[in-house]
Amino acid sequence: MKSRILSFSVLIETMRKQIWVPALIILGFFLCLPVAGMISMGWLQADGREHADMIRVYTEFLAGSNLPFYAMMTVGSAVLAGVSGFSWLHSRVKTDFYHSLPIRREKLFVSQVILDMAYFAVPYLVNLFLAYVVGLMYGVLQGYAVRVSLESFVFQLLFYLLIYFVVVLAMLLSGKVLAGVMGAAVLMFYGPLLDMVLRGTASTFFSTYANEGLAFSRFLQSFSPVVKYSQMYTAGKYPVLSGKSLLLCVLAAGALALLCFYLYKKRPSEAAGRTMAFYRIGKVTQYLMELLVVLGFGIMFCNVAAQARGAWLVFGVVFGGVLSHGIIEMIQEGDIRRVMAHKGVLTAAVASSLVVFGICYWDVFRYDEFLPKQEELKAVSIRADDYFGYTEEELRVNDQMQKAMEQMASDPQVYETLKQVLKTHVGWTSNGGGKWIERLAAVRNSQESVNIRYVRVRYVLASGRTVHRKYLVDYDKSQQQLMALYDSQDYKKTIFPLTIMTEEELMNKIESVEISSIDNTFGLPGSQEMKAEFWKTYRAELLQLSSETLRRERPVGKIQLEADLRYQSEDGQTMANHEYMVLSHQEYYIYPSFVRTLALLERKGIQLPKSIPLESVERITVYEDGQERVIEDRSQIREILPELVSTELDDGIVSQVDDVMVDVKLKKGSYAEFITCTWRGDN
Amino acid sequence: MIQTVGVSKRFEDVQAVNSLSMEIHQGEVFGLVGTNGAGKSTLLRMLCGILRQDEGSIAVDGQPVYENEAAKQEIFYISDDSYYFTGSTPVDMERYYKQFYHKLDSVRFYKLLLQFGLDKKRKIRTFSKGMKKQLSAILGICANTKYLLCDETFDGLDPVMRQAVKGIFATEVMEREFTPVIASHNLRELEDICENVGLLHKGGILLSENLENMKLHLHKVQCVIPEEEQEKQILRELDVIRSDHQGSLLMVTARGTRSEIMKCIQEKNPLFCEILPLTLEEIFISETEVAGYEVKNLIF
Repeated sequence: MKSRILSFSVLIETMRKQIWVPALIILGFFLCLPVAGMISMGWLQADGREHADMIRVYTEFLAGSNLPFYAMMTVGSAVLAGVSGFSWLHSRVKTDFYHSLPIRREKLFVSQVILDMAYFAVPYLVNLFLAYVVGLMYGVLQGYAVRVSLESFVFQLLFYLLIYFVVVLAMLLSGKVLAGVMGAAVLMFYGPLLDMVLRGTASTFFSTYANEGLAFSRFLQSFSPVVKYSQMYTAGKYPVLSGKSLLLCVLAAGALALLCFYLYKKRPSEAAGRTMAFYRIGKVTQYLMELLVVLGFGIMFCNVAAQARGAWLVFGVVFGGVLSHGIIEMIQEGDIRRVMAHKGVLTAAVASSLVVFGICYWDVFRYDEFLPKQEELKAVSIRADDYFGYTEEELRVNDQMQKAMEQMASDPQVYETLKQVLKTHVGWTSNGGGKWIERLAAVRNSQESVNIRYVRVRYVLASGRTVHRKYLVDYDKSQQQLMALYDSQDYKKTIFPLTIMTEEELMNKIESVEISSIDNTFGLPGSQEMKAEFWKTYRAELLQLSSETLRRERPVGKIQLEADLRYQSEDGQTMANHEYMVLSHQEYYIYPSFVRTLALLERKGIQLPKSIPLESVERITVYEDGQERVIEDRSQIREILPELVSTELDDGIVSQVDDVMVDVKLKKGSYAEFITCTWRGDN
Repeated sequence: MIQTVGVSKRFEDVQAVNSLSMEIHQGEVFGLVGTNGAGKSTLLRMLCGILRQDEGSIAVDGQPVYENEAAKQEIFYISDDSYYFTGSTPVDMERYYKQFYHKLDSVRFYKLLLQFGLDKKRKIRTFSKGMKKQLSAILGICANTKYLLCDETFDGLDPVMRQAVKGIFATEVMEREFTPVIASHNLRELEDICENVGLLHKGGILLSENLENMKLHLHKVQCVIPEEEQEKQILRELDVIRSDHQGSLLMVTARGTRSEIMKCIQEKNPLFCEILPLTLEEIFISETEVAGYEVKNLIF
């Protein structure tokens, strides 16, 4: 018999009954593409913007570069289509109607999926075409724009499908619309939420947990198409999928589609009206949801409590378990008296969470004592917080940096430093059961002057695995060894992005430069050649920077630069992978011994005085032991000024525990009203 | 022919249909009666392929039904609560059904709409409950399937419309291969249209017989027997389903032919004896009582 379900007329008839879905999507794209395009071009024209600028803006507009309405349309349309396309499965009357018709269920499923794809793709393409027409009207449409906009369409369509199939999966697993919508939210965000809870657990119990670069974490994040979409959408200049990421998205969408197809065929019609369509899957889902809540509540109560944190953790586990179990059972059973039904699920969730917490509490796998043997180390990078160099973001590992990290891994002195750091850390933290938090709080609240700093280490093992650790050290005891690292050029290459930037990057990727002295701020003047000379000179002197210089000298200037260093990896994925992220905002210090750099700046009329000029100072206020002392005597001020270090120019290398805060009031007409400094002199 | 063999269906803790075996022959009007929760709707939903049985087999003209397009082409199911698309009209529904039921007779559909006084362009949501039932029945008839499964379809129809639909059913049965299966609580409605009746109780079938045969083998007698011992003898000798006393009047519902029953009573020299006609409702109550459904207990 000829099957007619996939015939055009059947699709049209099916579409007629949910015509409001494509109507809303058409409206949305119409406003977002041709209408918004016309309005934005009108504004640019009215502003008298250059034609080239208008072309660039319109290309970015068509490609949807970080434009929220594309994201809203993609995510919103997927949720709308998924819910409306399969919500009839939650009504007995509708299920009876469709399943009594002489059609195989897979055909019903496929026809609905085809329609839901068309609801998104057709309005998008039609309105994109209209936007091309608008571009032609303004003369700003180029072939390149058409190409990137079509690539962007593929990107949006693939993520639309990923999100859509997750919503459909939730609708198939549930028997009530409300349960379906809630299920979709859980499926959409379970991975990131579990990741958040596990990170919280790790950061509570493991004093060396570095909260970065976890492969498992990335794995959990990738379970959320919305999170993945938002990461990839904002990663590059244009949202493009190619190579590996394109293949992965297609495979993921395909796998989800097959899973939905299989479940649709297996889903019994009588599931309509029940909370969960499949009993066993329902119980597993309930267990996973309860586990998440139990872990979350356990760690939350453990962290908000000041005393008896272990007991509060157990309280949180039990409380979270009973609460989540009760709510889920009440929704499922529709009877408040059945809140404690299926206690086995609750028991399993509580027991699993206690196992997880137990493993962390007693550090069964010796996480906090991790230090590979030197022969197992392939590469290593070390950075201490409050040092200058980059601090927050991951550094791009290019060939130069990789080589420097490998050199460091083979350096016995570096390995000795690591051993010392771990020893100091363990001495301070009294590892086990999150006691380090209490110990740290006690130290910070005590009267003794202890300078505790974090030292972050990235170990790359011979096996290829990367391990991140963060150590709390008493800086006064480790300062000598940590500062000695600056004597190695390899070390500097791992912490100063400027030293590993290519010539081309130095010339083309630096977008803005600001040089600060103790009393003024300048741009970097001169021709391209002059700038190139400056960067090369500064880089050479920075690579020569020694621990002795750091101990002896204090910075006279600071360079702040903005560089667009977003890198496109081979598969076209931009910055989505941590290993390819690079700092765009960087800070560098200029020391008095950087004579060639200073000479170059002087040639351009930029003076970097070693101290605040006496003639511009009105008075000095010293804050010491909770008291203020105002110094107005000129001879006293003259003596103090050379010993003051502006907080703006503090490289953080030398311990600051005994420093005294000082406010320097400048005379009228000066660069600023006040300069805040630290006083390291013999005060 | 529709044939079920050992069919069972369970919804979580509830055994809706339990090892049910029955046959519905081509060209008969089959009535499905049963107590509330007996499994009538579940059985119909399995017969048209909405539900898959847990055990046993269901065959329509020798073919399994579930997920079988060819078999389902010959079955049209009218639910007790039919679904119509939001904002749809009879024209929309006819057009939609036509995509799936290839033999649907559009000309006849519009003709019947006219006969029943239903506006083809009026929104179905503005129809009364009875009008919606009429529309379902018209769609079911015009789909030209061999089997029409009706779940409480006659409830809500006014007497005129009921007769009209029954008339169409009768004509269809005579003119083509047509087998309506009608589940209903309204036993009087089934009585004048059904040839065969299946009596469901607690998921199982109590009996499935020709209605006339059923009436021939089940009788209600009222009589006055002067001696108590003879009365007891009657009750022992007959296959009594139900007996009751109203003063000296003995009311007996028993299995057996009219002559067998009358002979047994006449031998006891009754002062008075009379056979009363049995309605389907009485047969239903008697049979379900035998199966343990205590109607008396429900009457306060």
